[in-house]
Amino acid sequence: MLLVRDLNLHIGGLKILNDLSFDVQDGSITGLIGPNGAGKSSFYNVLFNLFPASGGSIKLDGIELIGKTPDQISHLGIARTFQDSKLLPQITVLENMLLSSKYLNPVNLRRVFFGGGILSEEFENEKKKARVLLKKVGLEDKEHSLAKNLSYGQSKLIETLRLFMYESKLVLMDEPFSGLFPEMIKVIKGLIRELVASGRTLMFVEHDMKLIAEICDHVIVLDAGSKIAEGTFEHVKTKPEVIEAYLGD
Amino acid sequence: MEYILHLAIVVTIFSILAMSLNYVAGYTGILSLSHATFYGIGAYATAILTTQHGFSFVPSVMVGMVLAAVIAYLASFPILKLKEDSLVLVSFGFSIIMFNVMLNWTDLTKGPLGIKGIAAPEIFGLSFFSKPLFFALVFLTAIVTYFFFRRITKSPYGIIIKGIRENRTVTAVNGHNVLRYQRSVFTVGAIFAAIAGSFTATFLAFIEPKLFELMPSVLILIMVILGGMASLKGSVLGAFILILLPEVLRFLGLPPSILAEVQQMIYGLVLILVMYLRPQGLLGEYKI
Amino acid sequence: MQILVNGIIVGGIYALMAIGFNLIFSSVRFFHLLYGIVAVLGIYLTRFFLLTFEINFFVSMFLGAAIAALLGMAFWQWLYKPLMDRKASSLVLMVVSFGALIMVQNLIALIWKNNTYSISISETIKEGYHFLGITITFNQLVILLTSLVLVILLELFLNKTKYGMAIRAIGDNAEMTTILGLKTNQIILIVFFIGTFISSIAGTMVALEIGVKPTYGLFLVLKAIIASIIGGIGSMRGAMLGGLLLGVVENIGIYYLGGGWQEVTAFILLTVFLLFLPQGMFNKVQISN
Repeated sequence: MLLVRDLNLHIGGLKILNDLSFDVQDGSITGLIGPNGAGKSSFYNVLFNLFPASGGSIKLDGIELIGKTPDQISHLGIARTFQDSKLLPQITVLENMLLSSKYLNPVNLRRVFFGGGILSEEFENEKKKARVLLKKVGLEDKEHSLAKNLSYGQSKLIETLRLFMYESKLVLMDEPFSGLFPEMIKVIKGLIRELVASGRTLMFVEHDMKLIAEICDHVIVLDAGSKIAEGTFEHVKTKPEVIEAYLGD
Repeated sequence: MEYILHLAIVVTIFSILAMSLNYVAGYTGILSLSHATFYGIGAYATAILTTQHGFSFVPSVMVGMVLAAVIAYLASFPILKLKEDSLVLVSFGFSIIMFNVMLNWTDLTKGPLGIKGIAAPEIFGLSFFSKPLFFALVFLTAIVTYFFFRRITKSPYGIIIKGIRENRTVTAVNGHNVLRYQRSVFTVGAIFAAIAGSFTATFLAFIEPKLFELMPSVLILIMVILGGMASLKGSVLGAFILILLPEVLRFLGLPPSILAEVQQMIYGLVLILVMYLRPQGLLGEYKI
Repeated sequence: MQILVNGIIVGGIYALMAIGFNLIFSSVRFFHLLYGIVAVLGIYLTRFFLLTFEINFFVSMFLGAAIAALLGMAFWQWLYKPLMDRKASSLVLMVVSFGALIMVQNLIALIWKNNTYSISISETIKEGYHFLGITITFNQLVILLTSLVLVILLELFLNKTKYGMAIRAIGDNAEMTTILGLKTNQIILIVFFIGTFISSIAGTMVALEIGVKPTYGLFLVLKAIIASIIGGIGSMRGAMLGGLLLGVVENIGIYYLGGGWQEVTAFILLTVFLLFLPQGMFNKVQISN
């Protein structure tokens, strides 16, 4: 699904990512772990061209991502979440959900005025879809609340939930569980299973090793921008360089 | 009656300006201080074409709209490279540049002397010289403007531009071409400002560069902020309040010699008070 | 050559304006637009002392600047700080600042009328100085010397005193100032005092050349902002070079295009920098995306 080859990111004199190479298999759940500052979120940012890569290649099903704009990359079938929940604070929960929906594209003024009602029909369908999702997690009454009025846990939940609004192939999640109560973690775990069951491939950045061991079938360990180990969690956790990276931190 | 109609026309023209700026600033987050420039482009297009080149009203409006669209589209390249504070400054710089063009390109605009004798609009042989008729025309345009922007902002398009206002990165990652939307919004906003400008030119029968300087741009922005960002009705309310306020002062017996200063001081005060007490404006919910 | 000299003289004033502006910007991180109009107020006060009490020009300038500087501190304490404490965005602060600018500008217009007033050092017009084919008027010489003296004093203050070092630290690191044993708010007050003081003196220099008018407030602060951005906002040396460059480019513009296009040249210069060198000549803070 995803082939990363010799990926580099240098900012100023700093090597944020250093000759990074790995594969992500179709339908797998791949964990990306490593100490703070290892370059996990930076990898997501480079993948979406939020930071331009200094060299290397990222291919999704054979299509090169380097050099494409974030919206083009999204259209190739990649969705992501952000570490600190990036729901847009001053629009409603429903609007946040709809923003992720791809039927909206392209929405241009011609379609708004001369679309013959098709746009508004699709719009209603998407709204229905969003409402069903909200209902599933018991947040249907929050539909018209501004996102900034949600609790931390609720906004984390919506952030995961809105991944369902788009039939993506690959989903990049950035610490979906951090700072959540056990109950909420259970709900989000359920959602993640559903994402996988629907045929999506998942990548994960997470600090909680228990969750990584439970969820991921493949783990990539980064330290200071380089890959230091790869394999099943059981396999990498015994490797001396991994233990070193975590303890030496 | 004549006086009330006059005020009603001014309020309506400024409503069109405020609604179109709200589309740009309130919905999409492009806090532009150059709206009066496009207003001026429309006004000058109508003034020059009708007084010197024998155009009738409607074609002159169309030329103004096209001209404003082209200039806005080109200006959007440098302006939209920036955000927030620096965007405000550069849009302001752009309006200063255009103001100087109006002032110094005397062959075309007659510079500071202004253009006199702009005739009332005539559409299909019907003259809108009488105030009630002119008001009806402007009012109709304002209604069309309202529903035009309402349709956009209630559609999925509205969600995307509000998303852009909130966070461009997240919106882009969700698959939306941010710059293309911003350009479209900025251009469409300018087109409506140009329409308002054409009306102003025929209404006042005389225009000069001063009408399209910084202060009018600021005034329109204050209307938007006071009424509420991302609220079209709020913009109408903002225009209503800020146009009528000086008139109230006149009624209270303020000497005309200091009226202009007091009026502007009130604009300044309104800005400060809104930011302190109700950053989302009277009818809005979005806080800048 | 004469253009270059004129440009450097005007640029020197812009540099002063920009240094004061930068000082304030780097400690509060928003565009303090009131800056320009408070400087103009300082000019009016200078003129007031000059005319009413017939005191020496430099003493009047000093008094005017000191009062303006106190006002600058008051604006921080009572206008901005309450909003800063509420964590308002820099955009909100800029809007508030703009509102206050409009108010002060019109207040000045109410008190002193909307005319252009000239201001001069002595009653007799002194002859200019000629050398190497260049003419420098007496006023221009005063401008040049005052700018130089102020820049040197400021450099010394910022680099050699405890307060100066705290001011330089505050923009980057608020903790540093606590280590130096000074309260952040005290430092900001001092910054507002010094920044406004400099702006008022620089404003008076401008007034020597072109007189003073209430609307010059916006004009002055814009010049300060443009110079700061092209120099690299947050950097004192950048502000200085930015000011000089702006002055020179403007004068070249005036020479080739005519006086009507002065503002246009300034803003085109700004746009070019924002597009191609957004961090300015000496970057510290990136201001565009």
